[in-house]
This record gives sequence, structure tokens and C-alpha cells, in this order.
Amino acid sequence: MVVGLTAIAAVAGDSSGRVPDTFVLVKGGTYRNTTSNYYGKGVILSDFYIAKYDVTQKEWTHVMGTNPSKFKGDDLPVEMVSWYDAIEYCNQRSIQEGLRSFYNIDKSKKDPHNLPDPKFGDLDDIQWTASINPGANGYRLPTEAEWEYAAGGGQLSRSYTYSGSNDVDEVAWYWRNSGDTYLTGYWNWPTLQQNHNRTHPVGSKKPNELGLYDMSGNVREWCWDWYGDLKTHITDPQGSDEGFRRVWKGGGWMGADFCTATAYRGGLAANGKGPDQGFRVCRNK
Amino acid sequence: MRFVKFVSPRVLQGVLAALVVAGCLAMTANAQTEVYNNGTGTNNGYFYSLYTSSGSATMTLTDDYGGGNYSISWSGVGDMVGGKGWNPGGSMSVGYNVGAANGYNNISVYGWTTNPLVEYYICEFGSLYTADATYKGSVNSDGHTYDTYEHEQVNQPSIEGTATFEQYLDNWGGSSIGSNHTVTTGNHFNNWESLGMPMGSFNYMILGTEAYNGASGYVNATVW
Repeated sequence: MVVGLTAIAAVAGDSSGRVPDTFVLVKGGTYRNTTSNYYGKGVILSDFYIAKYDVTQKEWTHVMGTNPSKFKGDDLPVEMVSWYDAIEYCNQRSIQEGLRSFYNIDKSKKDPHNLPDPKFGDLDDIQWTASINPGANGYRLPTEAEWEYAAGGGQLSRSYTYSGSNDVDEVAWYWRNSGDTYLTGYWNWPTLQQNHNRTHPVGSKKPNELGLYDMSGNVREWCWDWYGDLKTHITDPQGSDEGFRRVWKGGGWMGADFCTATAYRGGLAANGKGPDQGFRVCRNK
Repeated sequence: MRFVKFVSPRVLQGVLAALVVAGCLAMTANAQTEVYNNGTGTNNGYFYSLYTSSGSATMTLTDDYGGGNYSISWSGVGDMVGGKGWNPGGSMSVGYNVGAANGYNNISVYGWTTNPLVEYYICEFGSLYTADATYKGSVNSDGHTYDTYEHEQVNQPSIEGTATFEQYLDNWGGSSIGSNHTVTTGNHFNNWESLGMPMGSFNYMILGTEAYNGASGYVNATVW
């Protein structure tokens, strides 16, 4: 099932302030997906909106003017975007649509909470200071907790391992199925290149319980949080106060199936970019 | 799998003819499987992998010598990597005999781990490219000395997707054709750990051959 682009195209440039039709209202509560890292940990989420699809290149280009993606196509997810690019997109789209920016971005102040990688040192050469306006109605990244809750089916969860299924091929583009032929054997980067593994049009796999597409696979998705220890017995957790990488979730076309499990936690320096790294956006209810 | 490039190609044509006889033609005519240009899988209980970026390569998997025998012939390859080994790898005594080899750039025990994500190389023939790597020390194992390097890979492809990770390089390259050799991998892993270079969970590990820059050549090797 490949989604038509008319609805996606209609999102860009909307100045009514309403939440686009391509968003889903996620009813909050506690985690029902038993595979979740948050299951039974006393974490409660408020309601929020999340996009059905990854941000497409058409959407990105409409807002930002240029397209950094390696694999080009209007209905392909945007990739080769850093975490900083993602939050700039959020604010820029908010401004275009007359919404209040969710992020405060200070490019002149080095973030003291951005720590050097204990193994590699200062990988992040940007280190902008970013904070949130919690009550703003603009676009934003999901928190890790929100992402995992939504990917796991929210209150409608059937406790799938991957977002919408226990059969990874049914719901996710990942290393075995994202190229010319289905790869067997073991992960091997040259083989992926030879097989032209790549991104695929958003919404071309089965959605999850909430109607969300590509939460598992296609591109990995940036979350707001610093990668760190998960908090328990808390409402709407925002992640660690500091760190050296930002969380990504969902795995992508390049990675192994275990990365596409909704519980899998990945991290990358905030300035990191790759042809498998994209994002989707949220809004407050 | 991304083999690092070499300081200089090493071609062993001088001893080739006799070694081809010793290592290749001495094979018995048992069951064999051919792989053209690209493939991964299992043969006689051994993991195998072949990748060719341009040009052509044929890998022949046989059940000779306990099932770990293979040969690869390549022509005009942009880059070719292939080999046979184990999944998962780990601390073990890797036995090998390279019966013949020419036109290659590197023959190494190659593998990787996750958590942390690490690619590692133990170079037996040829030499690893270490010009932009950090020298960490050396390790004595199996009767000779390897120089140990650490190389940072930033935002490069991995089994988890784009990632920043380390390559651990143990460089020797002084092995000989046509005789049995051993790589006691645990010696290398322990040395890396002692140098603050931790290993994670093992994935596959092969005795791999790489050739590039339009090379043509041949290798016949057995692992056990």
C-alpha cells in the first residue's frame, strides 16, 4: 500500500493552525506493550499528536528549500539530516504555519550539557543550546518515551516486537528486504551496496495499531532525548539532562532487524548524519 | 564488511607456480559449490562471504580438508573481498593454510562485534593501511609480533545503521604460503582489552582476502 501524496502535500503551507489530517491523536496512559522498556515502570504519558509518516523530502524541501537526501524522491523520507537539522525544520515549519516555535535554539552558546563522547571525544562540532517551550503548539520531535509508546501501539497495543507485527518483513524496510533482492545470510555492507539497498516511499508497508507507518525500518528517527538511563515513575519523561548523543529509534533500511524492534535504543552524536537517519514530527494536544 | 586499504600491494608471484600445485591442484575432486561475484551463506558448517564491486570473481567452496577449503579467482576487480570462517567468531584457535595467493592486497582474520560495535583485523598476509590510525602497542602471538592500531570510523555504515565506531587493527603480514598456521584470536582480544579497546558480542569472523584497483589474482585457502 503506497500512500498518495496529495494529503502530504496539503500539509505543507497550512496556516490554519489546525493539526494536519496526516497526524494521529495518540491517547496517553501507561504502556500496554509488554516488550516496551517502559512497561510496568510507572511511566505515564499525556495525549499528543504524531505524524503517520516520516518527514518526506517533499515536506522537507517545502520548508527548508534544499534536499540533503542521498536517495532522491518526493515521497521518500528525508535523510542525511542531523538532530539539529530536525529541530530547525520543526521551528521553521511552525513559523510557516503560524504556530509558536517549540524550540529555543541558541547557536551562539555552546551547550554545557553536550558532553564529549567517552570513547571518541568531541564528535559534535555544532553543540547548539536547545531548550523547549512546553506549552507551544508548534512542531517538535517525539520524546523517546512518546516514540516507543506510539510505535508499540499505545492503548491499542497488541505487544508486537516490531511496530505493527511480529513479522519484521510485514512492517519494516531493513537490510534484508530494502534492496533489489531479498538478502540472506549475514549482514555485510558491501553486499548491501551491491544490492542497491535504499529507502522506500513512506507508507508502503503495513501500519501499526494506531495507523502509523514506518515506525520500524525505512529510516531511523531522531527523538528529543539525550541517550541515558530511562526514568521510572514519572509523567512525560524528557530523557537525561545531559549526554553525548541523541536517541534514535526504529532502525532503518541499512540496519539489522533487531534495530527495528520498538524497544531497541540507538544513539548518535547530534551532528551525525547518514542515509538512514530521518525523523517524524509531533505536536502537543 | 569494509576492509581497510593497504600500504602497498604484495604480490607473491615468485613462488606461485609450485604453490599452486601444492595448494590448489592437490585438491581432490569432491563436491563443490561456486559463487559468482556476490554471496553469503554456510558451506560445510563454515560461514562464507564474497563481494565484488566491479570486474568479476568466482568463489569455489569445497568440502576438502574438513570442509573449510575455498578458492577465489578474480579479474579486473574494483574491490573484492571474500573468505570463509565462523559465525559467531570468538576466542579460538584459527587454523589456516593458504596454498596459493597472488594479486591480493591483504589476507586477514576479519570480524566484528556489537555492543560495542567494533570491526577487527588480524593481518596475516599483506599490510593494513594504518596511516590515519593510532598506534597502541604490540602483541606477541603464535610466534610473531603484531603492531596494534586503533582507527575511528565516524558516521560509517554498520549493522545498526550509520554509526561511529572503532576498527582494531593488528598488523603483521609475514605469513608463508603452503604451510599450516594458527591465529590464537584470544591473544589479540585480550591485548585489545588491556589497551582499553573493549570487545562486544561476537558476530561472524572469517579469513578474508581483499584485492582492489583493477587487480586480477587467485587465492586458495583452507580454514579449520
